[in-house]
Amino acid sequence: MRIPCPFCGDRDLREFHVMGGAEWLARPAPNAGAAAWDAYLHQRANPAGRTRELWLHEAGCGAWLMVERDTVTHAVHAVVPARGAAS
Amino acid sequence: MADLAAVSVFETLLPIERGGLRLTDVAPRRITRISPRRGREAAVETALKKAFSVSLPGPGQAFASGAVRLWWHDEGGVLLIGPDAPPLAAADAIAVDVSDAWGLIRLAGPAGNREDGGNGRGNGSEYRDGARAVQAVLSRLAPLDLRPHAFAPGHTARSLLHNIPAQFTRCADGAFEILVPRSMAGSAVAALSDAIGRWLARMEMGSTSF
Repeated sequence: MRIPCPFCGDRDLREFHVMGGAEWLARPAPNAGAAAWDAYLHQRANPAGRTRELWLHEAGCGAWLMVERDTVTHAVHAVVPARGAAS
Repeated sequence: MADLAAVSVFETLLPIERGGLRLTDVAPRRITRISPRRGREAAVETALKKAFSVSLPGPGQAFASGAVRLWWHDEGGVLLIGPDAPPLAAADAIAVDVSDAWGLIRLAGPAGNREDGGNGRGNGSEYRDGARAVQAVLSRLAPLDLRPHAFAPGHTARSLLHNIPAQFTRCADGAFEILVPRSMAGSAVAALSDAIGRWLARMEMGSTSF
């Protein structure tokens, strides 16, 4: 699997580290309540198919990326800097 | 405080020459990471142009002018390799001296580093061509497309050198300059030296592939 880093271009999987679901980008308000915080911290869909994840270009430019990919086919559909994806 | 003499990390490791390939220590006097503040890139570029006549490199770009190198490093900064940093206003950029964090290795082929397409195929004699030989050795160590059309002079990439995080830049003469963490200098030289030996062995056996 190769991931097209928006800064470095197509790179091999071994340069990247996966953090987990892109749910981390949508942090609830401090007073959002226990259910919202439980979902943010612990609940993940784990789909067979398209999913959004956070990846770190660890052995490359060090950028945090939001990767939309298919867990069944390993196709990568979109990669954007996580900073932009969060706003 | 005692005035200590700076010693290059490759002092006892380089140079190495095997089969016409040369590993040498570039030994830059200073390496500075310059991080422009957001929106102040133009001011930083003006200072760099005034001091060294080089522009601020974008992703994947490396500029060289004499002994001055300016390499894109990541989303937030560039590396100035060689001279002292020019005066920069604190409101424009943060400049950090990282000379002691890195070592810079140059891997060059036999004299006359001629480019000839580099499609990865050919007979043994083509591999005596300097730039091709350098590419063949590095291909074993880095998960990068190093062919000239994908990695032209002036291109820089941060990747892995045999599991060591490194930054690769191709020079105008086809040679590569490889920036490695100082703490891994010995491992980097060992990996490169080993890869050169294996490449030579394949050539001696008449191998026609990478």
